Amino acid sequence: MANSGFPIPIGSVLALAAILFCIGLFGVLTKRNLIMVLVSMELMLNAANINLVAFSRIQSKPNLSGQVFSLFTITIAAAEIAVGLALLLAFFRLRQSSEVKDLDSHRW
Amino acid sequence: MSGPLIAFYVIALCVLSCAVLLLSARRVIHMALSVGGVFIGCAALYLLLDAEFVGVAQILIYAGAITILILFAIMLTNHEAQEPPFRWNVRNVLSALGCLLLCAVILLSIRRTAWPVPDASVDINGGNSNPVAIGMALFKQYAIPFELVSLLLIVALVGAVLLARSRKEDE
Amino acid sequence: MGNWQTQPLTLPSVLAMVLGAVIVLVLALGVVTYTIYVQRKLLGWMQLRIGPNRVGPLGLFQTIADIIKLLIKEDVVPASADRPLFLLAPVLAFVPSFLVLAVVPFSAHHVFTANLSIGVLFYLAVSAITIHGVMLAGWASNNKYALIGGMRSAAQMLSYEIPLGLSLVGVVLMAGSLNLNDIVLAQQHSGWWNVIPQILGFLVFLVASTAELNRTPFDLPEAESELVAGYHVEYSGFRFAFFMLTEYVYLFAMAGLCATLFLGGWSGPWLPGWLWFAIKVVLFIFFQFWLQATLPRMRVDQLMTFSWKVLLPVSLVNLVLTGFIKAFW
Repeated sequence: MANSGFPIPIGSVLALAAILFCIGLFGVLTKRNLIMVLVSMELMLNAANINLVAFSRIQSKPNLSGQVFSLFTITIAAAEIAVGLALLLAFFRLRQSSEVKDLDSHRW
Repeated sequence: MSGPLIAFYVIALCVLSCAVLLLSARRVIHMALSVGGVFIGCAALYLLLDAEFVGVAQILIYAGAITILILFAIMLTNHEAQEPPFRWNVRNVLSALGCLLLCAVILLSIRRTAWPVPDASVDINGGNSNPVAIGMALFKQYAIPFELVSLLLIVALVGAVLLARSRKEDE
Repeated sequence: MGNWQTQPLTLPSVLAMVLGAVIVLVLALGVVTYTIYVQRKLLGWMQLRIGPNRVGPLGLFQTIADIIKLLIKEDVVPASADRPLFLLAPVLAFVPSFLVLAVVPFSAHHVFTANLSIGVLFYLAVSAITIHGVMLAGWASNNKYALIGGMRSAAQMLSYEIPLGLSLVGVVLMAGSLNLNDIVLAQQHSGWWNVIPQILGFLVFLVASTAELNRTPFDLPEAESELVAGYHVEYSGFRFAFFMLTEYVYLFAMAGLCATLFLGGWSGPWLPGWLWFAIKVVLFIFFQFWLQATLPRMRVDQLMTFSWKVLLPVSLVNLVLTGFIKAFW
């Protein structure tokens, strides 16, 4: 490679992550289906992961901390979605619905 | 333009179009599929950023396990579910405005900041191959967080089984 | 030419990659064509029949005739199917099956394949994507048999992937690397193939890979007698051919993986490396067809129990044993 710099400008990667995060946020705020709210949350977590991996390249002493952190995030996302979907199944069994708007009552 | 840069723009385009597809799709199962596209795009991005292990872990856990889990959840609940057509009511307008504002602020601050140009000649893996280096970091520097995460996974596993199991008194 | 994923991404290197991919694709298609022929011939002989013998000498062109028939058939999309998903599903199933071939070393030097440092993990991760294709094919067909077949298939492939992965970890521990080529080199260096020190892992791998390939006795996803044909009931013409192709390319890839991890890959005395590799692959494929002609199908309720209560503990025991041997030897 001619230049010694890293081929991808870090700013573009961070911008991509920011846009992805906002799309995920919009999904969380507007989607009706509980599964889709969970999925949009995963989108936001992914955006954070992109940032972590990108940051592991640009510290003053580049090291692997960012990549290790993103591995932790991935693991915790897996745990989160497992529990979330289990809750969803329990909820569906009670109310025959997977819509966010049916979640508002305190008792039934 | 160098090859990796072109590859980055292609991947970014794929990721963003899958994400927009996720917002615009109405059948729940189409959304689940498009989020799979986002996950795979992110994995490609990690590979491009020299994070091979994280990239493959992303495919294995996100695209493999989580998307399948979501598909199973869709099939077990209301698998013909459709979102109602999108309307510009107050809530949606406010959320859109808020998200756009947040996006603009983040993008502006990214633009204003002078990011250090990463040095491609520095080997972040310290001479080892990437999985070896990650393993060293996980089991030496981050051994306690690693154990805690494994504990969390066990708790989540047991919790998920307990929650999803149909209880006797419900029947 | 050996290490071309580390080269910068320039036009010539991209062209070389595309060329390598095309050559591997042609090779895989050729292997698949004659795997199907050999399967029909072998099953015929094992059942005291002759097998295909009409098209060409000894029936050698039978599969080619079948492929041509499938390609020129009408492409039917059911009226009530979910059209975009129905069209996408075969592609989603096939692409990963071909992608996994990228890390299997056919010979001592990676001529057309990639020397990835995460080869084993790459195989496991990418092959999991096929499950989406199968499941979505079942769902998009809007047919109850297809849906049941798709769900069964997804559940089966997902739960057998865990013992499969764990049985591979033993091999990775032995070699100290996830790179498939390093694993072969480690076996060559230690003097015996992994099948001897890792016999427990090998047995788990053999069972789990048979289930992962949806082959008898684990061919429940396409159990003809109860599900008509499983997830691809509604598919016809070249889309059906895609699913068949996926199945047989996976058979080839899994044979390559088995040969590489447990049977020493391309290493062996006297003969050239690629020939050793081919012999081991053929042995694995023959074993699968032998099983198919011998064993009846498992019951659905035994399937999951077997994976979680038998294979998983056995592979964990294997893992712990391997760790002990590695630590104290």
